Amino acid sequence: MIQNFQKLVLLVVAVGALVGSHTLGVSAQPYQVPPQDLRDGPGTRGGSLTLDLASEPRTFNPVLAQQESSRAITSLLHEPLFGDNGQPTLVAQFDRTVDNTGWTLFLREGLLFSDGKPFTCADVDFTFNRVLFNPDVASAKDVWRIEGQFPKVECVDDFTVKITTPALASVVFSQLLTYQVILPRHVLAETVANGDFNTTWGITTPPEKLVGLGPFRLKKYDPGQRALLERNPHYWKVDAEGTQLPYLDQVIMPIVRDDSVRVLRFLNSETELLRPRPEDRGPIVNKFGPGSVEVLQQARTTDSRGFVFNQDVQDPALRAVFRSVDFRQAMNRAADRDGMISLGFLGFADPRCGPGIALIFALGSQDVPCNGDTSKEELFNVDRAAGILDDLGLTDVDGDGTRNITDVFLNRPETQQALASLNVTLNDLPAEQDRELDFAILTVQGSKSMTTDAEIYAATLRSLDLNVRPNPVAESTLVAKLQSGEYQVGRFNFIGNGDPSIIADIFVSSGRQHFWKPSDAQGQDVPAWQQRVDQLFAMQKAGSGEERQAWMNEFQELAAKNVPMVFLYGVNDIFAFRKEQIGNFSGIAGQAILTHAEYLFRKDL
Amino acid sequence: MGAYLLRRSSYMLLVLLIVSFLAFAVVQLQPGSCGTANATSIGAQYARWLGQVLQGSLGTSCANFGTPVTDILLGGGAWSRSLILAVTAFFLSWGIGVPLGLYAALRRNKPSDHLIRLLSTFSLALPPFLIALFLALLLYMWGLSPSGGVFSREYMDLPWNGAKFVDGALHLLPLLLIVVLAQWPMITRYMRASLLDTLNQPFVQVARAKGLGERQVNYKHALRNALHPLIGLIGFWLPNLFESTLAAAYVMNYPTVELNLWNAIPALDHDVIAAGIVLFGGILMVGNLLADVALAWADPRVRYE
Repeated sequence: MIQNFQKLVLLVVAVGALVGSHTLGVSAQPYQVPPQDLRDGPGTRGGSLTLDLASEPRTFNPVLAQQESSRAITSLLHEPLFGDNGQPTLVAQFDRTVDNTGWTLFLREGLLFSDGKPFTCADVDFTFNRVLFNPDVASAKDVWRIEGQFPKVECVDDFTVKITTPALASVVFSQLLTYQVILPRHVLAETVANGDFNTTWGITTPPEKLVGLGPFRLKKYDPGQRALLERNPHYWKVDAEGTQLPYLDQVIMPIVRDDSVRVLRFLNSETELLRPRPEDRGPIVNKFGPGSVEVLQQARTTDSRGFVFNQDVQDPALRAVFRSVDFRQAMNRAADRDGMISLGFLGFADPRCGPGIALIFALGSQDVPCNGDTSKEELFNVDRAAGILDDLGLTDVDGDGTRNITDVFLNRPETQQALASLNVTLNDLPAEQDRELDFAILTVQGSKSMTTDAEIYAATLRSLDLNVRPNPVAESTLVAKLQSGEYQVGRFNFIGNGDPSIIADIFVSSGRQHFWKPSDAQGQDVPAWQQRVDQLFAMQKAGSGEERQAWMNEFQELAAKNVPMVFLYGVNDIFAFRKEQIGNFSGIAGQAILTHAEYLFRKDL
Repeated sequence: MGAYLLRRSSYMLLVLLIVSFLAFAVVQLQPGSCGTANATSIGAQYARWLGQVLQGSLGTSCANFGTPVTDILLGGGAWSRSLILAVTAFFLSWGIGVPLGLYAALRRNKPSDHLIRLLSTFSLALPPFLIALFLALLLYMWGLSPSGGVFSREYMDLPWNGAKFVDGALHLLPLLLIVVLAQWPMITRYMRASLLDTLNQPFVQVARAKGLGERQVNYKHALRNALHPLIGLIGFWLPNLFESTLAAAYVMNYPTVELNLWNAIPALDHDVIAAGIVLFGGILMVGNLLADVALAWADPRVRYE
């Protein structure tokens, strides 16, 4: 459910701290997986792995796939140019120019697609120039643009790719490092030429037509029932003992929609791998023992969740309140992050006060402490929040139990500026006893954690004498309202991929996803700190790794101080499997569940 | 009767048009609908969709990147599973509900009547979804698959044979149990009330006064008349059946047309939703029409002109 914030989810692939490295490995044929990558050592071939999908896949097209079930399947059918943690995949070696505007990728030779046809530079050229950069293809192409232009991708020979950008652009390199799959030109060229790519490789496509370089290929899809994947016989990795990967013969993915039934199936040993809810951990540990559940800590997650106050809200008085940095600081202190984490996730989340890892995971920076204080007890301080509101003059002037947006507050110089932006004066507003501090928090109906968060937050704010109520709506409605600005306070979830450019659209004043203050795009009342943020994001596109890290650290500090949003927490991903049954599991939070499925093997064969 | 059928069919078409337009408009007006990128008006989009329907195409699923609606809604054997489930559940629910209602009415206020009423009240109070989850838990506790799907894993890829047929039937059983548990109380209570009402009618008193035996009075005169309102009930009972089969299919991992329609709703997949609503609306109206015709056939007093 939470994962379906598709319009705010930008990309979900961790990059790894690789920016700045020069060489990713050596050309070898076949490629031998380093022993340290196989945490349980070389495995034995054979057997199958069953894990349930929570919904039907919507497409088998890896460029279009956003929904988790679709990605869970496509991630096994295709191989990226670069892998996570610096593991080479399709690229054996690369060089880059001294001025950082060009790269030469040396592709691994002798690789075959799952239909036995060879992989060459023509497939890379096709993927970038005919698909990803194609204006008619529904791909996330804007992140590739530098100064309005796409990078130039060209083939030097069958196995050498040259990529040049119009300007210094670290972001292009970061994009290359993300999960960028390569498509088979010989299968899709005609489809793309006909303009049919956006409807190709749908769920009714015959499995033999789905061709990729990944460790598995689709054997059968029974709509609404199950996806059955089998080993790709042409896969190119081997282990230290020379055994061709993947180890597993099959991956079986039945579609089981109900959360509780998926847990029962795991407890009944009908599935071997599960992504349980926090509340499911207890029954699983009781049945299989403590070692059965692996929790991936936030160090590998790239999500940010919280509440956003609409600084362009229609009501002029409320707009003035929401534009007050002090007010937002008070709101930040009123967020009971620990309570939300405890109730919504049974402790399986970590408090955050900034975009943190979603932003700078690739750069190796740390999240900023909340309120500039490292003491966890200081995160939540209702008395301090009340003090700030009192100091601002947001007091209950009519004694009805709700604070008012008083004349004292509206006469403050910074508030006057907010009113002036709407050509409104104090005389145009209702009397102060009729200006109550009253707003609704839009949240997602049906999401336990999101409604819990809104309830807890609203309860705290009510204790501060603010008239606040949660307003649960359909997820698609929430996203649409955030984007159209028709909200007062809204819930947000977004997932980065570790590169600042991916979430720049949210924080840069001219960004299309700058949903918390769209008027910044017109250059109206852009505060100095926001102008500095714009500069930092512009500079980081072309900086070195160290420079980008420093600039993004500065951005984090500005975000913590000025609170454009109330960041709450990052969620831990939990995986359950029996360690005596499954070997070499290495899930990466936020990704399709079977990362490195080629390494997995059955210990119980 | 012919003129009546023609008139009813015309009304049905009109109602289907209105219902499909409303369904289409409601989905399109939702923020975040996957069709909202289309700049044309809702009327124009509906006209486009209707034009496709008249040419034999139900359109394409925007949430599934252009996959035909027929594949999304009916594909992969969903229509046959829906049909088998609905027809079997119909005969079982009515086959159990009517005799129990009859039995309870004829033993009014006796312990067996109280027991049937108690059980039916209990069953009515349980939503189908809860029954399904409870059954899944029971199956798990008995060491069986809590969500069987359509076939066991070992039979899924085999061609049809006797063993696969038996396996498929066994997988259908939990769904039937859920649907029947949810449906029998309403039928039983309706049957009981209708028969009790009929037994108090003057013509039954007259039959008794004529000296007819109790068996002949109950089964020949009273029961026939008590069944007439139930025939009318069948048409309206279909949406109720839809709710139960949806809950059963969702929990038991059994892909049916109703489940496919349900999946399209959160995605605001307008073509699929409109087609699904027209399909189920059509079934409901045809069911009602057939029920009316059956009632005219069963009850000589009913005439449609």
